[in-house]
Amino acid sequence: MRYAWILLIGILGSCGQENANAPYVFPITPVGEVPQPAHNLATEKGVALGKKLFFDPMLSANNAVSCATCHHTDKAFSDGVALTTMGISGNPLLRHSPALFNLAWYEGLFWDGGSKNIEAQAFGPLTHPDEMGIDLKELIQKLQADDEYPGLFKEVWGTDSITTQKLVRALAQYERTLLSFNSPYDKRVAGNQAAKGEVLKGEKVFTQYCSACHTPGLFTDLSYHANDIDTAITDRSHELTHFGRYRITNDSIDLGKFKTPSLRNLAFTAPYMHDGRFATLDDVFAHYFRDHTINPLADSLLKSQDYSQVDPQQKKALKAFLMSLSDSSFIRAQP
Amino acid sequence: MPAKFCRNPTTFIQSSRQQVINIITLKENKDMKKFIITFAVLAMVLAVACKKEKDNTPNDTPSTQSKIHVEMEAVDADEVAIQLGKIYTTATGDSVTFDFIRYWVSNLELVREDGSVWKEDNSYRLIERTSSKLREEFSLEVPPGKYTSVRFSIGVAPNQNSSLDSVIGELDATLGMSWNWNTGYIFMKNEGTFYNSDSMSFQPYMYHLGMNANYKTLTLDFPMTVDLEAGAEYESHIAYRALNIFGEPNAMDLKANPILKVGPADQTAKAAENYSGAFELHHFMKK
Repeated sequence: MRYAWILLIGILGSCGQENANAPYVFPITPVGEVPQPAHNLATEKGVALGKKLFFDPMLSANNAVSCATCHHTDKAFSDGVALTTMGISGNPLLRHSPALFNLAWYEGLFWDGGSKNIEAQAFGPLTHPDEMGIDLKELIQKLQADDEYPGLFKEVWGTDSITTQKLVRALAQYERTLLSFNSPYDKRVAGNQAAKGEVLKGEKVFTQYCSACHTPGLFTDLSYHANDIDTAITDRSHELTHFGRYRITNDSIDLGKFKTPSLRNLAFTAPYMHDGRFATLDDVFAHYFRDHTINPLADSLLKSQDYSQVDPQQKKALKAFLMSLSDSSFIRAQP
Repeated sequence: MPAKFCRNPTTFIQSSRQQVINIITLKENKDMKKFIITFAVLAMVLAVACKKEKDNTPNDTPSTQSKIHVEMEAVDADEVAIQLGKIYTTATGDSVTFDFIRYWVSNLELVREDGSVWKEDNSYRLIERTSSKLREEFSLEVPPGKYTSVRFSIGVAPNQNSSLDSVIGELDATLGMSWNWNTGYIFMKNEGTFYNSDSMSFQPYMYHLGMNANYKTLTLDFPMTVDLEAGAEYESHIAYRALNIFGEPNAMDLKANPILKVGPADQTAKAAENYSGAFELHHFMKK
């Protein structure tokens, strides 16, 4: 009798064995569950494969450039330079490499939001001649001929036939696991850490002048704004890349708008802005805390109050608050 | 379901039957009966599940379906097949050449006499006339019945247009028919040259048209109701008047806008209206 039960369990067990790729368990975050598309639910092995791919220079035409070449773990996956020249061509890119964390909530990737999901985003850098510049057919041939990849793809999808679609899904699964919600701010909000007076004073300045776009939680409204860094945009080159969000929507209201970056981890993500034009946080402050009423392109939120009123002590306090948004465990947790 | 059972469900049933018999001969009590029932039910469920999967593999006997051979041919104003590189005159008087014509034909349906439709599954095809490929013909396996028209779309439906990571039918984001910087498929891609009267030379044009707003569904009526018989084969010729994109009904200004990619929206909308109106069903007949 006992053996019969074992036999039965054995039969049932073997039925499920080929799907022994356990779902990836995301932690619950302060902004709720981590969203993921139904057709690409993260699994343990899918995430591990995505991570291996992310760090593998084999994904580039010259076998020298990986995703991590411009997304450094010790900089919250940004790269520390304004416009990188680390792609296969050595030409400077037109925009600054963004930091990568809490990406699952974004409905638009790239600085203009043109890429509509993380899976689709990967096609951009993989094929761009100044980034990884690889021919996708060639990439699949390389991976298929590799000692490890066919087996790893099989573990995730049950077949060792590698496709670009599976590759970008694995990358996206990994990227959704890059969560950063463990800053001193988060600990304070959770009641685990007392706040310093300076930080609380800075939070008031932040709430008045910054929070309309940098919404607490993700510290971005996931939207697009023209923040008065350009007064006129006339350069139509590179398929209107300097036009910002306008390039995607074709709507003049979006001229010069770029995605609001999260203020989390800004201690690790200088330089700032979509083209990395501000080297330091002081440069960013110098830009914001002045009059914005003249520029017709500037967002109305910037015109709604007098930013030149903010005094040096308020700036100092604001800086203390902003620094408390940086999560040192996030940069340590990565390889 | 593991493949080792599915490959041969009969063997599995036999062996589990043997197992049941063995157990019965060993000992018989109430628990045992319960177990046997549970076991048998589970074994059957497994066997049926495996069997079902096996049945799902395409194994349609052709005799129960009608087969339609479709040719969707890019033609000039005289209904002669387009020759790549040849100079043609558009409705607006421009001289143009084609290097290639590529477009997605999707979500094909046949409309029955009673208004109901037969929908093709995973219905995405890349139609191509390029220097290396001529792919303008395809076949459909359709249930017999009386049909009045064919309906299909040019491009990729909005619910799929952002999914570059899905392969559906021939839909595949690695074929040069999608945008990476503004996620979406290129529905219609034409490249070639046009004569610029200012520079007095032929210059390249690029029409890369897509975007959800330009997703067009068209219905072409059969000359009369067709009664498709089981096992019979039919052929249908659909002409795509490839020059219409430049001037019918909307005049395009090649000199002002030789490159249409994603936008400008007003120009791409005009071009999309042009090409989506350029399909004509020429004949449908039994082979």
